[in-house]
Amino acid sequence: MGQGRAALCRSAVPGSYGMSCVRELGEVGMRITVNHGLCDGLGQCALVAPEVFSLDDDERLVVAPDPAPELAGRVAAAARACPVRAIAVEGA
Amino acid sequence: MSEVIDLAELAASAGLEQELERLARSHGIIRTRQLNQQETWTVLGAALTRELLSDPRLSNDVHTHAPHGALVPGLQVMLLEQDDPGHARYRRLVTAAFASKAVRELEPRIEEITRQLLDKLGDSGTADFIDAFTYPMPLEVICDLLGVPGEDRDPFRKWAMDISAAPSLEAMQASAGELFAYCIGLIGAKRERPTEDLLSELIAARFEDGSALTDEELSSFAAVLLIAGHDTVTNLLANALHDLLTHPEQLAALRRDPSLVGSAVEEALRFRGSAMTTVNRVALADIEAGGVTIRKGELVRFLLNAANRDAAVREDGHAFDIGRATAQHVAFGMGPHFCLGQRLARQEATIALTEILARFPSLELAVPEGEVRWLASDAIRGLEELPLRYARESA
Ligand code: HEM
Ligand code: SF4
Repeated sequence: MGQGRAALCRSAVPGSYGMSCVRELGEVGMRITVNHGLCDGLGQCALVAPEVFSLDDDERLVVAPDPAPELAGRVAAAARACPVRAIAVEGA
Repeated sequence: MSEVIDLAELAASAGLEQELERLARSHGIIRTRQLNQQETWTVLGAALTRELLSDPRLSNDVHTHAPHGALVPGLQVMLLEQDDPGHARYRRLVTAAFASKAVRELEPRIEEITRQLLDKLGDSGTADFIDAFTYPMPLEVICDLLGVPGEDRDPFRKWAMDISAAPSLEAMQASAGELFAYCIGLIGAKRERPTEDLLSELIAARFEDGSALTDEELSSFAAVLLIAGHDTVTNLLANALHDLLTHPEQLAALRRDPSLVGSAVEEALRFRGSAMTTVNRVALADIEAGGVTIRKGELVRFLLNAANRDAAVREDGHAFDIGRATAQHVAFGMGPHFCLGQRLARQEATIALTEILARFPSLELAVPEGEVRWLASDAIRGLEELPLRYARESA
């Protein structure tokens, strides 16, 4: 299931406004939304939380499925490191 | 640790990076004195740099929280002196112009500018390559991109140097004032007669709520792009040429295999990046970092050229090695203010180095290595001039 979600996220093309993918951290109830229309593929998020965010060969952001709950703090920091605030984190 | 370092003074020597790394071994963070005599915390260590560059307790909005730390008093610089979420709102307007696709489309024009400038040098001779090439090349590119008419471009070098490698506070303020006034005039002209360029696009751009940029915001945008997008590249290119020419075995490796140019550019950025220090941040709370307490209200800046030589990251940091696996460097900063123009800068540097080396099989410093003069600037790392002897035939 996680794989399917990752594939969906990968298929979201930069420039297509509003395309977003959502990841949920079940136990802490945190929700990660990436707006791929805004994401510029700069990878600043991936420098902060490489376990959760990475870029594919086309500079498209891939969000890991089901990230571990203890990464919540790093995910929030990664969202803050994004120059265009393309990552939204709710309910942390 | 009571010693306060005058960076501009240190910068006047080629040994600046070694000296900083020596300091970094005992302190991850030091006190330095700025042009306006303000003292600031200055972060040297790589780990601390990575940690603090995304720390929300450090604000770039010095105009609100510590006006004495402003780049130019009274003029808030677009993006660089803003905090989120406002900063991201502005930055979203310009991301597309600096995205991979847009930058790739500029390639033919950058090559054309490069070749035209090299043509002017003729078959052989001696010239200051900063004057003849590394200054005009990125200036032409950014002015084309923004839509600054060719006949208006002359004063930009002085404005840029006064603002980013400021010789004095007065010169900086005067030049910033002239640049902003020029931008306001240009915006007025483009409002009346839009052209196909980034400035006209920005005039037409709308935020998500439908509102547009004001004249003041537009001129601040134009000014930051013209300055940040120009003398950073000028100095990086000159530093890269200098460092290649003073490491003949590296130059030979690159000449043998021109496909190494990408990693040569990365190593040049790491070894002697041109944006030596970031703009000031101000602490919004007391912060414990690197064994010191940064008090709320104090200024903090980052010495990227020190972090890039940190021995904790690479033991041989003082070796210039274009073949090294391109480990992460922070020459373009990190986090929310990560350089907007890094793809363009990398592209310009790649094209310039490729074309220069292909054009001149014979290229060498025209003065003894120890006699080149380094800018006495605490912000920009670069050379006063780069006199080179060149020839199309190898000697
Ligand atoms: C080799 C060349 C360049 C270097 C070394 C460089 C370096 C940097 C660094 C270190 C920062 C972050 C400063 C800080 O955090 O205080 C930055 C930001 C910036 N750079 Fe560059 N830069 C270069 C070329 C360019 C180019 C070509 C442009 C094109 C317009 C550009 C536009 C900007 C802008 C607008 C910012 C502010 C971004 C923000 O605050 O969100 N730079 N650059
Ligand atoms: S930092 Fe922001 S723009 Fe960059 S890859 Fe991550 S989400 Fe995308």
